[in-house]
Amino acid sequence: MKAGIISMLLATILALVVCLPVVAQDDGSGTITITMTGASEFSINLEPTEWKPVGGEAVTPNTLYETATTWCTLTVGGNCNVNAYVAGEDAVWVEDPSAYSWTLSSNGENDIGVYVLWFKVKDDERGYVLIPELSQDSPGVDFYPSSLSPGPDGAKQFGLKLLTPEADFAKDGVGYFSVGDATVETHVTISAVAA
Amino acid sequence: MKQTTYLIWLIVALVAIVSPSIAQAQHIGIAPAEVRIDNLAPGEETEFEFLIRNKDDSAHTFSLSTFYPEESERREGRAKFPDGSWISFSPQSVEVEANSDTKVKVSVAIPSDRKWAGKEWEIWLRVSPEDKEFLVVNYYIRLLVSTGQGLEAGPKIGLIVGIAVAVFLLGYGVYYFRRRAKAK
Repeated sequence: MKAGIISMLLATILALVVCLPVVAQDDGSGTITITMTGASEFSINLEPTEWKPVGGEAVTPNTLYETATTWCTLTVGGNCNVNAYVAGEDAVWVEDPSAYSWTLSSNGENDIGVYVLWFKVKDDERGYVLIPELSQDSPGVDFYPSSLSPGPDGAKQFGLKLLTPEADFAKDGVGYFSVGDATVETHVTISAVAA
Repeated sequence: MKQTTYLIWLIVALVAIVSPSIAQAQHIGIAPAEVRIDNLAPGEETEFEFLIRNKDDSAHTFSLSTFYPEESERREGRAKFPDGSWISFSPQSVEVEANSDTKVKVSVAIPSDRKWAGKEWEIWLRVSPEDKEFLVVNYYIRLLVSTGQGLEAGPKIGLIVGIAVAVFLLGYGVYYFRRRAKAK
């Protein structure tokens, strides 16, 4: 009796082993397809990638510095149109980022410890556009309007403008930053995605 | 004392914005620019590869992550991808030698929950250089995911239990009638 029941249980398990794969195949989910759209590809070339206002000399508080609007050339390579966005970030003292920094302005006004960055694409009727802070939610402001999209193998020239923060304090009528002879560093990020 | 400290600090009270790098160009490409996955059912996983092309004369290291584009930046009809943790990169960070290409493997796994069936999502895969110059380019690949109808767990479990019971009863029936036949 006992041997019989054990035999039946083994027969049941054997039957399940045989039928489960068949059942699993019949799940109605169909075939997964992965499409690499048109073997599309794009590349971005920037030249130059570095800007030293006044040639690397010291900058002064509350002062505008700008490049020519043809300062940098962005070239789009590949075989698809590209949307591009621009964003900036806070500037920090290279030697000790936590000790001294400038916050990127969100309204185009500078202040103590607040600086402003704009960009201008050549022939763009928007003129100088405020560069917003890079965030998790947004890659930034449109780099160029769709009417000026360079297309594959096209290029755009642009320039930058910087307004330094107001002086941290003044002495004898001259404004100063609270750290001197220091290097402050920031980045401007261009985000590119297929249009 | 404070005034003295200030004066020491402020002999040259000016700063400059510079980039630490002397690089003057950056030329990187990605392929494909867009990937579409169709009929990926809840509970299933799939993989694909994309390419990072380094056309510079120096090596670059890139970190890989996901990004949720705003509705205005997504393809029409595409909703926000629910959870970036369903996407994994191998490797998570990659160094690409000068003038060469490197492949990155991407896995997409949808949890086994029927509420994720029949959806149309979009998320971007971000390729960010780790060695940043003043101007930085982040590259994004559009990933469009459409989910299939998925596993219908209820009927499947019923079917399996039904088969098990049927096999057991059949076996027991054969055993019972054989015993009865032997007894006679």
